[in-house]
Amino acid sequence: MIHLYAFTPPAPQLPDVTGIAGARLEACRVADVVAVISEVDPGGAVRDAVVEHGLVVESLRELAEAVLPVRFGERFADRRELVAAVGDRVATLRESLARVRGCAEFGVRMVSERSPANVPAADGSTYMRARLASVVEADAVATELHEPLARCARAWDVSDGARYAAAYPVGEDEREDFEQALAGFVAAHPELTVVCTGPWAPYSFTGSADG
Amino acid sequence: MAEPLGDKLMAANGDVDRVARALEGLGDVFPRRIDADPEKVERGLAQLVLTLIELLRQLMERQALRRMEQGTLDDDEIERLGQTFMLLADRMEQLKGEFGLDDADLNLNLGPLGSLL
Amino acid sequence: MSVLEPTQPQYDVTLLELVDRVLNKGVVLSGDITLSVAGVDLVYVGLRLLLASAGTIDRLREQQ
Repeated sequence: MIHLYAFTPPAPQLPDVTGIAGARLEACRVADVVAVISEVDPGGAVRDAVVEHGLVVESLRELAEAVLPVRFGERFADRRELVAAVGDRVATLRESLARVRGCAEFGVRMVSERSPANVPAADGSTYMRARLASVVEADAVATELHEPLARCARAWDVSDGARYAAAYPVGEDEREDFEQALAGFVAAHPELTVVCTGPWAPYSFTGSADG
Repeated sequence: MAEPLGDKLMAANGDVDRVARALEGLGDVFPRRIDADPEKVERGLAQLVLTLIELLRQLMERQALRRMEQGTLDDDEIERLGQTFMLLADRMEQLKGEFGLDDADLNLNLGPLGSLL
Repeated sequence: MSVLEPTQPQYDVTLLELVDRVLNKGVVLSGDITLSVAGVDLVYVGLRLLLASAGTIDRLREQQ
């Protein structure tokens, strides 16, 4: 089977790493994008494969002009099937590649002291007021973190959940500003847990309906 | 060549472990190994059910708080909602106790729903 | 060069962030990716993924 890792612009420099289970990486040209693939054993262990897939994508990011990571699990019987699956999406892929050129993704997560849901309250109204106050405060802190980072990024993807989790595509020339903005927030809020990871390939900005 | 993930941590402040634990649930997208041990099956089922209940409770509470903020709830409704959520939270603690589960156990990844928690 | 032990939270977080991206994000060509690619290898991936993949990371590091 063929395993698909990512798309790049034509004639990419392939990194000196192997794919899943030591397989050789190959560049398969589809119109004017390249699909980076390798042969895989369909019954192979999934756990290691997931990590190896990620490491291949990161190695590609370091060498290629642009890279569009593909979600784990895209597999094809042969190249003909791969080309058929890419189908008429080549133009979209090319545009997405142009959009993420020169960008690396940084992920930011923040966990605050979660106020216990069962706040001891005399009555329902007191409980609701206390909960509202803590939600409003959490939103304010999230905004305080997000806005300076967003100014240093080309886009953003912020989760709508209770816990703050965001991804930012940051260009090379903006990276220092981004790091400084983050450091500023962290210094101002020693009571919060903030974790920033990256640089990653632009997983969150591939333009996929799901992504 | 540098250690593959060694330089991927840009900044970390505070209890990094909490973030790691919060992320751990993402592995549950994989199908589970079929385990016939009845005790484990029951516990796994309880974990799933309580996770879903907790998700719904938090979603409903957040929705109610949004409406409260917008001013579209009257005092009576606020009082009744508050009572209900307090009751649900107490009941959840009871159920967690009965099954020997803590907050970390209710961290199952629910796919696209998971990010709501 | 510092050696990250699998038990260090820093190691956990970056590996988890990688796996989160690989499993949940990126281009999707097929309408519905199912993990039946794993065949009959039904596994519970969680903390065990970390422990299993620590070996992968070490092996890869040795190769380079």
